Amino acid sequence: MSFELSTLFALGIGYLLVLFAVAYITERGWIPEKIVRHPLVYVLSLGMFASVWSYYAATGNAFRDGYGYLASFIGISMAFLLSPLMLRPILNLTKTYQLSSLADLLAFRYRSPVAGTLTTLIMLIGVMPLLSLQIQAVANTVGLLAPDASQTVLAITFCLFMTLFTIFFGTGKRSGRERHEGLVMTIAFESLVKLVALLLIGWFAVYKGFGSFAAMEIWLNEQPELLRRLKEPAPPGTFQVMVLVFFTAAVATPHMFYMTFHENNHPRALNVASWGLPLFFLLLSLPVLPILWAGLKSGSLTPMEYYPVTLGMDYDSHLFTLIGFLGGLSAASGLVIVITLALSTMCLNHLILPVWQPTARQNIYRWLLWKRRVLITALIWGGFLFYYIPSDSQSIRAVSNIGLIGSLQFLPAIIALLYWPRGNKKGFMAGVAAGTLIWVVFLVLPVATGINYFTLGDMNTREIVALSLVSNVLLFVFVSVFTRSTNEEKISADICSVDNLRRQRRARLTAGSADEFISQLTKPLGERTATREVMQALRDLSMDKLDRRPKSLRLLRGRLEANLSGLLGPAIAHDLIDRFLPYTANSEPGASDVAAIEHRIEAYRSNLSGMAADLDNLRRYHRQILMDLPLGVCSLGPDDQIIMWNNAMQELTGLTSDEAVGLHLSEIGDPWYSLINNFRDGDAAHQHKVTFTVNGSKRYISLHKAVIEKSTSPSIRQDGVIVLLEDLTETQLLEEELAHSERLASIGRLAAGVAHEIGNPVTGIACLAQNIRDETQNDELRTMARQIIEQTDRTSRIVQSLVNFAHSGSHNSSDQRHEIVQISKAIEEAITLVSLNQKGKYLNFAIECEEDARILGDSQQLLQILVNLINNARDASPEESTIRIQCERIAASIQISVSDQGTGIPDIIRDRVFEPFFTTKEPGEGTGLGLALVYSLVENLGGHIDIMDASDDQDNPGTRVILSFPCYDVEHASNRVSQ
Amino acid sequence: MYLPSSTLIVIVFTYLLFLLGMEWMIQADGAWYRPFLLCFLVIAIAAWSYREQNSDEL
Repeated sequence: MSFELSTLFALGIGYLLVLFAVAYITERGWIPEKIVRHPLVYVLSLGMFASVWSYYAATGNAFRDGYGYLASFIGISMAFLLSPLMLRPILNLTKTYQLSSLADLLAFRYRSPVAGTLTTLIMLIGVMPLLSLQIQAVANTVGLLAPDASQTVLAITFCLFMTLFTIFFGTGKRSGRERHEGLVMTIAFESLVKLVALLLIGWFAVYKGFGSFAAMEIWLNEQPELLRRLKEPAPPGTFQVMVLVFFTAAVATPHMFYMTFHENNHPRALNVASWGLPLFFLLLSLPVLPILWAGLKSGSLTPMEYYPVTLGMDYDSHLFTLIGFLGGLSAASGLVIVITLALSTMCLNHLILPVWQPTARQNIYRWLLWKRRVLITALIWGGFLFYYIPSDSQSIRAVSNIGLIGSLQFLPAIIALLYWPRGNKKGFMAGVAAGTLIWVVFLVLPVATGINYFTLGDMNTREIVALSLVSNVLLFVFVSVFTRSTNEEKISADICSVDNLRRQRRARLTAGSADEFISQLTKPLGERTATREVMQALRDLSMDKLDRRPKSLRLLRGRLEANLSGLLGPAIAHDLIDRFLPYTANSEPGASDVAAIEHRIEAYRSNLSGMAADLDNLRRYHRQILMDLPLGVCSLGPDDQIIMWNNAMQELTGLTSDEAVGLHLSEIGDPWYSLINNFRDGDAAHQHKVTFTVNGSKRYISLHKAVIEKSTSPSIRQDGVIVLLEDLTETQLLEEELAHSERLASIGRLAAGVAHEIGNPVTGIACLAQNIRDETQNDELRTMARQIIEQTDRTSRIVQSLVNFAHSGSHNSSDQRHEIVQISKAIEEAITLVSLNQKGKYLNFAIECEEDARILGDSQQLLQILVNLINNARDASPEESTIRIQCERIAASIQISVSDQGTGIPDIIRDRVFEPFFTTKEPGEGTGLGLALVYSLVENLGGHIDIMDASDDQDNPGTRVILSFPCYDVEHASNRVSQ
Repeated sequence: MYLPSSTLIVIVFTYLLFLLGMEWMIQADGAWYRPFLLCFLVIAIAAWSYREQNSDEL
């Protein structure tokens, strides 16, 4: 059985067009997001790893190694089953620092562009044969199905489609940092096709090859040699080496790194992949044995590797042959796309950009985009040449197998990256160089050229792999232990290390704002790119452009470095940020950033157990005590940066902890800066009741401080000052109030006594004077009697005022009437009373009062208050001026104000106007008891009185007296009644 | 080194399973799919163990 080339061509092209369609409709958003972002799509996209080696080579491996063929599946599955140990921490790193390849990660960890370049070169050597193997597999399959067809033409067509697809859907987004959802969806679709195809062929093998599952079992039991080979243990170490190689491949191959970390949309997806991908590989490996056995039973003459495709031909089924062909095509194309994308980024970041960078005048995004496109084309066609040139097709397969072993050389560095902060750049270079040298000299070159340049006795591949790995580890450890790490490396090690808490610099940047960031970055990137990157970083951090806090600027710097790392690679990004956004000269590398440490512990908290959890609880308890302390706590670092700012400080200053922490002390503004700074600089450890003004109101604060001495440990930098602020304003006001009340009470007692003692004689004098006036005919005497009566009346009024004042202070709730008082009526009545005696002045009254404004209290007291206030206003007002009386409801209170257009009350006497007998009127005009009485009555009504200027006029500001009373609310009252 | 309890469960279970089931798995007269059953059990326990694992933002 054979096929027409046109049939295969149409099928192949049709399938590749379907891939274009899947990517296109995903990119256009026609597939619901919940499907596109579903963890299952991510799991299936990772299935791309099962390329030609699993689809084709697995049957051959199963025949040769028995169950040993499962080693590759088990190896990669183990990496995912143990994902919290290796993949999860790396995912967090790559997401935080925008690292898209292992070269990026190692260059970031070891702070060395050379580390990235070395990794990229080794990857190129190891992975390029794998790329060629995919092309070869597609060409060979067509060769088997259509022997007359030109394999080269088909390989070229395949490469052409792959190039177009990868360029369109892998580099469509300009910066290259974003996820490619269309691409991921397509790769997931390919994995699904591959899995379904292999399962169908497995089913076909069982039921077409043997008739039934039981029949296959019977046939198998009749093949003792096959069974023995299947279950015979592999030579010691072989299985383990293969497991280790594929375990490492989960991170150390560019395509797996790219899909696992760069295209991951949520950590939860990796969680599902932890078991989902092993399940995928289990399902993929399950049909391999039935396919092998059915192929053997049929006596097929084709190489075992191609049984999944040729089984249909052997059993005369066109459909299953084509299904097998499609499965193989999907296995090959998926890997080609991802591998070229991943390698192009690596080559750009670590081979091209270190020697050739765009200028500030160029559009960097376009420049990078086109370089990536050129690299993708070069890689795919390089793979084609690697397939096309060798005459021996077997050598490609052998080199690709050996190539995968090369990834093993990164295992020590990956483990050290997470778990051994002591490892350094020199150790990494030495270890990888030694391991790679052994791998290249004793494995790659002999397989690629067929010549053994050097020999190592009778050592087999497994032993050479072990030797290279052991040499790598020993050199890495030895060199790292005996050489020093740079400060940069130590910081990176802290960041990468799983067990270490991240330490950040608590240093200031030379650039003091986002705008300065832009102007600095304009030099290397150009204004457009610099602006775009800074704005992107601000958006990522949800940060305001005007935020100038050192903490925020450090975060912005870190975010910019991460974003630029995704664009240009970590080495270039780090160098660029270091040069153009440096820390100030007095920076202290390694100084602990308490906020950063706390943030990290909070994130890590769910993982803490036992003693660590207890310690954390203790830390939280102590922190909570400080935060909830009724005293303001402000902790300052050695560089005057605010480290702690508790809730009481927030209430005092109105500045939240989030806003204040990280600020330089001078940035909190006056009066707080002057207050704290002067006290911090002074010698006294305590300062009692410092008076200062905040927003026009007087505050009384006591200050205390404690100096934290410098720690003897160089790794701890927590010296600084703690300042405690005790707000005594309320206490002070209460004290003043108490003194005032006591003064009023004593005056009240005095007034009552005086009124009693003076009242009676005065009444007697008045009676006698009236008698004289009424009984005498002497005009002179009558005039004198009238004058005596007038003076006694005046004395009586004064006495009555004293009595009223004395009584006003002795009101209690049982004496007081509780009635609903309508304010507007009280105002009208008060004006009527005052109008009876206008002292010859013509005045206007402007009344603005809400009709429903009511209070609960004594209407006579309110009337007395208003009459006093309006009288005062009248006395202070010039002729024909207006007295404004307003009443409005504000929230749950009623505010009544009486304003005049007089000369106002000077500030220096404003505090004294409520004192009894204090008056500014002419002698005989006022007793000085009016406002004191008003003050007492307002208090009786549960209100509050305040005096201020009525206008901004400098000469005649007028006076505005504001009364506030609790509002009487009908609804609340009825509720209270019903309750 | 921090070892999440879910991972510990997977490791211990896998170790015990293969320790006890290795002989059974490759018995000469045993069914050919026995290794797959053991692998499936490991995956099942991993799926159960990781079902509600919180993301550790390390």
